[in-house]
Amino acid sequence: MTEQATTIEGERAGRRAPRFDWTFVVFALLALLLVVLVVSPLSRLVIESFTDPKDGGFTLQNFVDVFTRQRYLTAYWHTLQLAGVTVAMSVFMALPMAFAVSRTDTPGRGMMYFAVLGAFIIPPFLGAIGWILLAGPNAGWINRLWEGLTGYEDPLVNIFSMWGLAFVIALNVFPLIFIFATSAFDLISSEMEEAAAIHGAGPLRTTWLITLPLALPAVLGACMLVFLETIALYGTPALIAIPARFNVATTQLTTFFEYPARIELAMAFSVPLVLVTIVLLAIQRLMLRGGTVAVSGKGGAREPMKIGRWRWVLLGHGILVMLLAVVLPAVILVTTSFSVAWAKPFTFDNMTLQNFNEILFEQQTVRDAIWNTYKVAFSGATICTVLGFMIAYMVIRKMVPMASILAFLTVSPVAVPGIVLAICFYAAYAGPPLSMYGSSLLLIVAFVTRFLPIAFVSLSSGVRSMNPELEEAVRIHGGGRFRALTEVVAPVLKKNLLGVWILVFVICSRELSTAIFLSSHNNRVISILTLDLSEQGEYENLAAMGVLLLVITTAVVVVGMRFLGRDFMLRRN
Amino acid sequence: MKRRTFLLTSAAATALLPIAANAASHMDERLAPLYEAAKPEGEITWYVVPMDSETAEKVGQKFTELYPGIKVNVVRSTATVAFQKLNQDIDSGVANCDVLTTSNVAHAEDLKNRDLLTKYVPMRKDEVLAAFRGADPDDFYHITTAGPMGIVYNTDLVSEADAPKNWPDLLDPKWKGKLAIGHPGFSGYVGIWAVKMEELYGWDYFDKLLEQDPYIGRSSIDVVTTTAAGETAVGAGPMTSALISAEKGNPMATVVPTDGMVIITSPSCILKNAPHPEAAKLFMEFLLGKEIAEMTVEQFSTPIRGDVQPREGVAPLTDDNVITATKEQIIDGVSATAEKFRDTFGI
Repeated sequence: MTEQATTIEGERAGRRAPRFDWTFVVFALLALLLVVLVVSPLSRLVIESFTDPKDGGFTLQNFVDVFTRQRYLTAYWHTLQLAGVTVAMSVFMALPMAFAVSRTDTPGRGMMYFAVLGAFIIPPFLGAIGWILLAGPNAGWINRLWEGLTGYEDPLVNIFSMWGLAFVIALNVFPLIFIFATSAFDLISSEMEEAAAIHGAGPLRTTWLITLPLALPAVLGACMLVFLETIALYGTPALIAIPARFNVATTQLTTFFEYPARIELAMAFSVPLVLVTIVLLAIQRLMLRGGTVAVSGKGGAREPMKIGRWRWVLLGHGILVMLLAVVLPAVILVTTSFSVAWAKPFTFDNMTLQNFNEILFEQQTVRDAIWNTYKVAFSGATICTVLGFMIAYMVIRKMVPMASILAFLTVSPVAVPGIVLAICFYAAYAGPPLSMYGSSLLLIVAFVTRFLPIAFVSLSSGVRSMNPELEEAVRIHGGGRFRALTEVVAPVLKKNLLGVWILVFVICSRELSTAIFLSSHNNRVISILTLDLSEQGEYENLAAMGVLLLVITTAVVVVGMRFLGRDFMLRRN
Repeated sequence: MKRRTFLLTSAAATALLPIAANAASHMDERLAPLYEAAKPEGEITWYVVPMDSETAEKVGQKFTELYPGIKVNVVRSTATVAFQKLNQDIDSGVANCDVLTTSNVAHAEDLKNRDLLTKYVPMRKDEVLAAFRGADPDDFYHITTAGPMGIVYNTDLVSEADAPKNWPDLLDPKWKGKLAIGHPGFSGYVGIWAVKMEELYGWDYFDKLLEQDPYIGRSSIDVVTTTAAGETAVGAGPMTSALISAEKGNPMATVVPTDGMVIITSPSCILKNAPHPEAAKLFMEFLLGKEIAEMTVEQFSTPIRGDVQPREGVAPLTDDNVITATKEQIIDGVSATAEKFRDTFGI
């Protein structure tokens, strides 16, 4: 990439002679890369689902087997219910906060930002465990308090239910919506809101008529991701849905891999989930068609809206979400990590450092897993950001006629549950001739494929919100595409780029589903170890590992933010 | 470090004393040639199921102390996951695993039938109790651990007098919403337990269990965790884990059911493509030996040898307090029972 950039920069500005169009070379390279990352593994899904495992011939029997079992159909229905409820809950948690932080004079905006960040950094697994301890129907802290206060024996909240599951997932994925919504809100010039205000609209009306519609594409895009993230999630359902006896698609999928494994049924079972996503993508595209460019690179001054009493409502909402998503689970986690026996009250007798000693100094596997986790997360985030940015730019600016194919290929893995993606990668690259099984590279490649859509969608909305005039100015003055990209687009979008990098880094560091079938003992990541520990019920060690994971991840995020200045976290007037 | 030095010294001292080198001693003279052959291989990878990772790591360290120069890579998971990973290794042509210890004998039998195991007749084969000998007449795998499933309860919520006495007692309406079980589709232990419950009490047992609105964990160990937390009051779980939990200070106690504990015997086998074949054989001897038994009884395990006594609180196995499954029952029954379980419980 750098070679090409230098070549173009080396050319004299304003030269009129026809020159070689490098965009097609880049296009070809990206297309090739996407074939390796997406087409080759995902084609396994189609091939295996139509293959008879016995003779390797074509068959429809796998689909017949899948669609004639009531239990399988129920799992689909449960997954759709769950994803719908999770999206609704996430929007309710994220949108008011995003609006408050980005557009208003609500107090405590910095706190809200950190609440979101905190919620995002806590791996779904740990959040789920925290909430089992908090809201278990009999022993949960909240229910014991409720019983103590009211005398009712019936639990106030029951985490082992569809609502509980959706709630825990929403607490973990709402930051996706927040991040997308704030980056959209941030780019809206407040001139339009002021115009509405001048014409007599109050804050509510202005928000409803001006601000929200402008941010709608980004929010809908994020909703889609939340929906698909929920469909693909395995860790939280493994902990909550199984005790709740609420069979979802991913818990059903793992059963196909039981001895004797029936990969072809798993592949067939996954096909409808992929189809659902394709339909969603099509709907989203239709909705966004004809959207106007109302947010430009550097708009006019952005003044926070004065919203009067409403700011207390927004502040209260922010504090509540922070308590639920970060404070309560984190407190439980930290106290457990220092406990001898987690079920007993956290008294002096019950305190110990043994759990940390165990994971840091006694168990080599834990140290290996920690190192491996961050190696994979760092590489994955960097590759995702660079690739996602290049593809987003080519697609949004329609630099080549077939650009939409790139977009489709890039986004398509999001339709495949991480567990299935892992099987696809396993089928494509684990065995000969590449024999990548057990290598960190295989994990990195799979993670890139899985999270490239997030980088792409996020950066697309960034590029889309930039007025092309800025780049046209570069072109008019004789600069090349790459110059426009590196010296104008990237600097303007640097917040988006770093935001995406941190986003992908954090989700890579906790990804579980994609890692399951690609991990051998050589390339185990923390999430896999966590799964093992949680099965064993060693919650004290598990919590210590979780705390360590949180400390390291938080440190990386803080260093990243320092490096970029406070501008990244919150815009200062 | 000190403890390690001590053990090394004592191991060396024992080796120097021919009198102490009887059949059960840890510097077994019979094993010396095997150790010499294994030493250059330097390491061994052990896929292990029927013990928690903490204990498994300690077992690995113990092996290295006894046989310096051979490191143990411990890979601990549940039966289903271990077998899945092993099959992934096999399918992708990667030889990782040397020795597999699993709680589901059907997995060992399957590997044997696919010609993926090495036949090995351990020198210590006949040192274990008669009940644990000859699991495979062809010597492709050998029983190396035994663990009982029993009734566990939370002592803060249930008095000793009120605790269930036998398996059907779990169906008492007073445990509705307060009962924990594991999932036979995940856990090897629960799979075998479910097969035996169906045999003894019919599928009706599980239909009634459904009416109890049980908490269903993945692993059988989850039952102990959940009951210790007070989320459930009683459960069907592994007694070893329950005793470890109780020792850590959790309000946990066990009951030997009057109709019998379900004993789960776990076989170990050496893979045909094991990258460290000599070390694997040495490890197999180690798994059958006295040192590991002495060590794991500290973790409340049930010894498979007659010359090691279980720790206080561990119920000794007698003729009338155990339920055992035959190999055929496990091979034919676990998958089918797990499937029926899924249909009944919807998960």
